[in-house]
Amino acid sequence: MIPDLLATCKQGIIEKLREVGISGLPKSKLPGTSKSKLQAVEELEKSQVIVNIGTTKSSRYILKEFEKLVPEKAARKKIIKKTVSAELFDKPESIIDIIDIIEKNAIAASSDILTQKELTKGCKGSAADVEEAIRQLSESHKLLKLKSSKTIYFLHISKIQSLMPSVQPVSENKAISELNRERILGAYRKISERIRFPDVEIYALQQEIGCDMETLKAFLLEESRKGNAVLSYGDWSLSDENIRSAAIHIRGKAHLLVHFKH
Amino acid sequence: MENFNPFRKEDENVSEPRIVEAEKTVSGLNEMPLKQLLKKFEDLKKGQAPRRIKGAYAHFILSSQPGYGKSHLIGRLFRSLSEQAVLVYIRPFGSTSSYWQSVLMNMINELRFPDKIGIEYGNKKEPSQLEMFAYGIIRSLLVSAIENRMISVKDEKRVLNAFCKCSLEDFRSSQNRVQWVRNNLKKLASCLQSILNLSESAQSWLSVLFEYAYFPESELRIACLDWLKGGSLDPDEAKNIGIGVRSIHTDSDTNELCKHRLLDFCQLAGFFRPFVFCFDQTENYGENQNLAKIFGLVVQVLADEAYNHLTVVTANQHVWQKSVEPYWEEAYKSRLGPPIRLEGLNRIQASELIERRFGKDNADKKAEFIGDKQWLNQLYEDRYEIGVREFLQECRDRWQTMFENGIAEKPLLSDVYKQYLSRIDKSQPKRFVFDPDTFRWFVKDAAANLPETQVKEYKSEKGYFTLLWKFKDREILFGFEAGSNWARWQAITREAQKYYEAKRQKVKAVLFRTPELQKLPAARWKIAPVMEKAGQQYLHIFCLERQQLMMLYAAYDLYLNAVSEDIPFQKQDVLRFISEEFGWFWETIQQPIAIKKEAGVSEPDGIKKELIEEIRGIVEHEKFLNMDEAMKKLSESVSAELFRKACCCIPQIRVHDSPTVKVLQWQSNQ
Repeated sequence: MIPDLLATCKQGIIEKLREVGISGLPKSKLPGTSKSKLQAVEELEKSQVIVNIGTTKSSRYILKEFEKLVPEKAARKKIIKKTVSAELFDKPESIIDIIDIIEKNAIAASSDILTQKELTKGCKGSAADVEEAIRQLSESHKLLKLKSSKTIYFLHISKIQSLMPSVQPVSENKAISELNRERILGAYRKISERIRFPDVEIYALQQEIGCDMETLKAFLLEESRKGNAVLSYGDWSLSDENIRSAAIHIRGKAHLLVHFKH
Repeated sequence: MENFNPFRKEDENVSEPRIVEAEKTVSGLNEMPLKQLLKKFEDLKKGQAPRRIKGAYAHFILSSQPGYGKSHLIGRLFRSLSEQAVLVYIRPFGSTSSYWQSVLMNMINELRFPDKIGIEYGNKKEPSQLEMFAYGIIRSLLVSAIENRMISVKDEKRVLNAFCKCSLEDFRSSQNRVQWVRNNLKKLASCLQSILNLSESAQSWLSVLFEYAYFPESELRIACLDWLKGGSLDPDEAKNIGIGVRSIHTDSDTNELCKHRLLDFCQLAGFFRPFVFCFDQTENYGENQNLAKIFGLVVQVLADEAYNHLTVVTANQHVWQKSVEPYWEEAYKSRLGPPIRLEGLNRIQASELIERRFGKDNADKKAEFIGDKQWLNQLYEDRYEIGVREFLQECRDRWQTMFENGIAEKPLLSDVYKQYLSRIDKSQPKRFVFDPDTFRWFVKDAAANLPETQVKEYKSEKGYFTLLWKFKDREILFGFEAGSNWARWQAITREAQKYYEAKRQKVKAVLFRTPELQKLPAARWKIAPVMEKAGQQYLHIFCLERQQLMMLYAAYDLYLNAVSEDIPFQKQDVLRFISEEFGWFWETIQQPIAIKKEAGVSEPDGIKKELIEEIRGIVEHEKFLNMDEAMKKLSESVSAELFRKACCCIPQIRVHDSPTVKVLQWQSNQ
């Protein structure tokens, strides 16, 4: 790995952990791409800049300098144990749970914009955790903060996604960004209208565009990750070799069809 | 608690849409497709009775892969339209010559479900859909006749008011009211005749509906059902019901007749509630290109000719595109509405599904199962939505890894079959009726690989036999007749005799009979002696017991689900399994009648007479049971070998061997 990249990644992690304080973050929520992050976390942990106060399976990293502020490990364990046994009565929520609830509230609400109270209805976590959940959602561009005089409102991205102009996929892979998104969508629409079905064979799409198959697959996978496209199995046994060759594999399963959400 | 498993495979497939539980539905999932269908249904309720509303097309529900919840959506639709629509779930039909007959029969069987969703099938306190349909039409006609002064009543307003409050049960409970309705049936019939253009006489229709709705214990009910299914009736029964001579039908084109009966039903629905027809598991029509075409024709006729219905067709897109649509004419394609695509579960809905599966009482296990949600994040790493079945499979794998002995191996087909057997027994009592599609499929598709047997589509001269098995030295003809009209059976016997004589006695005819149907021949029939004699030579009426029916229907379901990719087995696996498992069925059919009669077995030495008598008593009483169960019922235990030998001493007992089970059947005609 390029040392500069590693150093940037380390710096990002330190800044992030300083920001969240003693609540800390699981490894998955630390900034950085998976490769650089793994190495950065390992080195920071070795040099005792950060420390994992959770478990190997369920990590929770904080800055070493904050460790004194959190209860001793034994006490932490006690708290965890107590919480588990009390779960039936008062379920503690992780930040991920809170994010789930907030997103659910935001999507299900009949009005598009919500106050923080409406947004966090039903959240049982601490105020800090709720704040953290909102911050994470805002950072990942899922939740928009709107200010009107002194009041802050929140708007979930799903409410306005259809009104947004399409955005070029951001990727490290240059070839993907070069592939014109509109061109692919246009080809998709054309085939979909012709066959009168919403799901289109990836192979047919590639044939229509005439682009490199691997580039198209990478693009579709990226669109799937973002929720713009849905990949599905189709029927392997009824498909010929060409159609099969265009399969995108997710968790070992071949996906032959793609559907774009409009 | 030890056996608690929120992700059991058995709970995954929807075998019967009426048992879909609302509380297990994830909020928001496929809400839009459901709303679209409900909105279309609302259009059918507009205006005054009799309504004559035609939908432009069938609503086309598409799933991009199996397991997106097509049948589940139908279940939710049924639940939403309980007591507002006449709900009909149509399994795939398998005949290219009697398809309307199958659709109509399926429809009548569905109409026998309780009117209210959630009520157990066969609950006599709750009216069935058919009873409510019949009552609703007669009531609507009565109201209209009173309002138009065709029927005069003393206090019109009060009577009409009472009508609105009067339930079917109230009506049945008063002999005077029932008699009053009967007295006015002719007037109602003429009123009906002037409003609708029915293919059958309005008098026949009303007489059948009246008999069915007002006399739940009547012996004529079966005859009414026969008539509604397009079957022919015994003239005496027809007369007692009030069906006109022209409406009896003994020798007409039954398929065409069934189509018109169905169209009549839809016209009549204008006085009551619209129909909802749901064609599910349509992948099965792709098994045969003619069948695919016929299905297109059915959809076209419904869209063009039938009033007052919402038709829903579900499909897995890719299979449909490759194996059904290519055989559809443009006219058929245009009768399908724009596809309504089903959605997969997003991450939030996935979490909700887990919550619902665990319920409120399993918080510890749930917390442990959910863990830090990393596995869930990984599952959604590359996609935003996942098919419900795929997600449940992931959950099941995780559950088995965490709390059981690792991921279970693929289940055995025989175990899945046993699950189907139990499911039919417990939750699908409506299935224990004559289903020609199942019988036809068994002797046509499932029998295709039987050794030394050539299976052929066939049409006998009079059309009573539509399938043929050809062996080296003999033939078997198959007919599928559910009716109990002596004249029709006389004609069937005559045609069978003709073949028997023409082929120098090397042919027999097989017809299936199920427990709910009248025993044949009826003692009072003039042709009874002829039929009995024919039964010893060439006419084999195969009377299936409830248990046997259950086995046949479970096997057929297994096959349909394999084709729809709802189970992890190929259709060839299922066919292979059936040809082994159903040895008893094939043997019974293949057995020449003459040989069967000669097969008396002498009593071997060393078997106590008491044991033979005890076994005789048990099997005669139970009619059809597992050999192990029968052995347990003996007062003294004996070895399986001795038991088997004792059975051989009783000519009425037939032992059916299969790799998994040995079944004893009582054959009273031996």
